[in-house]
Amino acid sequence: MNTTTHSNQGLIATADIGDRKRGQTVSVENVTKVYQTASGPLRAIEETSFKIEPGEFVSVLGPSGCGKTTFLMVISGLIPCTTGRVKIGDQVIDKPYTDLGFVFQRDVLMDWRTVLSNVMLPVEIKKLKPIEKYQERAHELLKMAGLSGFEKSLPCELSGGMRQRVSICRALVSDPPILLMDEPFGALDALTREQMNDDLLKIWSKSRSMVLFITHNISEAVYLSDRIIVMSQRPGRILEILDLSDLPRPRNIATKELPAFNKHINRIRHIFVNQGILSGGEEDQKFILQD
Amino acid sequence: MTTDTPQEFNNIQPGASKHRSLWLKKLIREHGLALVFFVGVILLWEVYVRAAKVPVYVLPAPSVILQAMIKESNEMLKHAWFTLYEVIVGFLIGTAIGIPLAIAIVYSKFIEKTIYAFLVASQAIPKVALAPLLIAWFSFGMTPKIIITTLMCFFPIVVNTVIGLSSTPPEMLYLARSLGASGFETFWKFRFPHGLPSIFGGLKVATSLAVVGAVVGEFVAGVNGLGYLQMIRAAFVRTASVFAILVYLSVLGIALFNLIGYIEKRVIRWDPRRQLERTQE
Repeated sequence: MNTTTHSNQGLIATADIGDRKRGQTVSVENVTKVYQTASGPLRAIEETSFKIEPGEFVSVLGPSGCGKTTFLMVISGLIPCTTGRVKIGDQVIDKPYTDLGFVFQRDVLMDWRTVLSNVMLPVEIKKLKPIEKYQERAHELLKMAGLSGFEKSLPCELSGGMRQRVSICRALVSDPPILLMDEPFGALDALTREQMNDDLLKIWSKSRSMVLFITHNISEAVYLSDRIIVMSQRPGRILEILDLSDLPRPRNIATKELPAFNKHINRIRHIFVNQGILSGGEEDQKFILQD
Repeated sequence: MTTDTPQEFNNIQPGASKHRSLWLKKLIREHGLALVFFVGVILLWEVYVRAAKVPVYVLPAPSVILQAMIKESNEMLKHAWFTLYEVIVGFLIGTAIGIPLAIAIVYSKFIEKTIYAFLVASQAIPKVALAPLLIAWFSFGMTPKIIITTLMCFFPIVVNTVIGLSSTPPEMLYLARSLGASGFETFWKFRFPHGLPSIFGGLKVATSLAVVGAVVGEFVAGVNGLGYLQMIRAAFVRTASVFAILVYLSVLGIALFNLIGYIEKRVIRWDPRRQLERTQE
C-alpha cells in the first residue's frame, strides 16, 4: 500500500469531511502472549480474538498488569505474539506496522526539538511529501490542541498536559488511519485528564481514525469509546465487550449525566467486583452481584 | 530569572556602558559570594605570611607569587603552549577514539564483553605509573605526554558515552521503530541526542584529567612544558615560581573546562535534569 498517497488523501479530506470512516479492519485472531522471564514463562495474554472496524473508538479496560500494553505492542507489530496472528486489512503483522500513530503514557517528546519539530518527526522519518502540507497540518493540530504560539518552545518549557497534547499531535500529523494510545492520560492530574478527554474527542472527531485506547479509568473509557473491551487480571482475557452506541456523539458534560452512562459504569464495576479485582465494599468479602 | 538575561542583553544594545554594568551585575549576582570568599582567603594568606614571617622558600605571599607570575611570564607562557598543545591533542585523540568505541560497545554485545570488560579492568592500573614505560618506548618528545593525556581522559569519555547512549527510554525506541526509523536514524535522531548531556559530562571530567596527564608526562621526561619548568624551579627552591606555575596550570584547566561548558550550553538548550528525572521515573 502506498502510505504517502493514502495519507495525502486523508489530509485533504480532514478539512471538509467530518464524519468519515477510513482505513482497514484490525483483527486479532487467537492471540496469546507468553513472556520468557528469569523465573519461568509468564502468561500475559490468554487466547483472545476481537475485531476493530475503521473509525471506531475502542477502549481496553482492565486492572494494572493485565497485559493491556502487550496488546498494543502486538497489534503494532513491535513485539511478536506467541500464537495466533494480528491482521490489519489483509496484511498479517509480523514486523512494526508504520501506518499508525502511537501515544505512550509518558509523552516521549524529544527534549532537543522544538514543539513543531517534535510534531513533524513522523513526517521527517517517513519522508512524507510535500513538507509544507504537513507543516500546515501540524500548525492546525497544535491550534486545535490549544498550543498555538508554542511552536518554537522547547518541551521543557511546557506543563505535563501540554506535553502530552504535543505527543498526540505528533501521532496524528501523518493522519494515520489507526491511533494506538497506551494510558495516555495516566500521568496527569484528574482535572487535566478530563480536559484532555474533551480535547482528544474534538481532535478525533475531525480525523475519525480508528482509536485503540488503553486505560484503567472506567469513566474515561465510557466517556470516550464506542466499545469497551473489559479485561481480567493477568493472564489477560476478555471478560466482556460493552457496546456504548446508546451514548450519542458528540459527547459533552451532559453525556455524563445520562442514565445510560452510569449504567455502563456500574456494569463494569460489577464485572470487576465479581472478578475480585474490586472488593465492592468496606467489608472485606467477595460480593456476588446479580445483573 | 537567569533565562531572561540574554533577552535583556539584546534589548539594551545602544548604550555600551549600560551593557557592561549589566554584565558586571550578573557576574556579581552569580559569583559574588565565591569572589568575596576567594579574595578573603588570599588576603588572610598575605597577612599571615607577613605577620608570622614565613620564609619565602616555604610559603611565599600571594603578592610575591604574583610578582613571579609577571616577571617570568614570558618563559612560563612559552612552556604553557607546550602543555596546552599536549592537553588539547591528547584530549581530542581521547574523544576521537572514546566516542566511537563507546558506540561500538553499546551496539555490540561482543565488544562490550571483550574490550569494555578489559577497559574497566585496566582502570586498576595507575596510568601515571605507565609514564616510564611510555618514555622507554617513545623517547622524550611530545608523543609519550600526548599518549598519557589520551589514556587519562579516554576512560571517563567512554563510560559516560556508554551510559548516555544506553539510557534511551524504551518508549522512545518503540516510537522510533513504529515510525519505521532505520538503525542509523534511531541512533542519530534518538539515542545520540538523548545521550548528549551524559557525553558532555564525560568530556568535562576528561579536560581536568588531561591536564594531569600532560603534567605527569612532563615531570617524568620533560624538556618543555609547565610540568618540566615546575620541576626545575622546585630543584632550585624557587617556591614562588612553583606557585606561579600552579596558577598558570589552574587557569589552563579552568579555561578548558569552561570551553567545554560553553559548547555544551550552545548544544544542549533543553534542561537535562528534567530529562534525567523522567528517565528515572
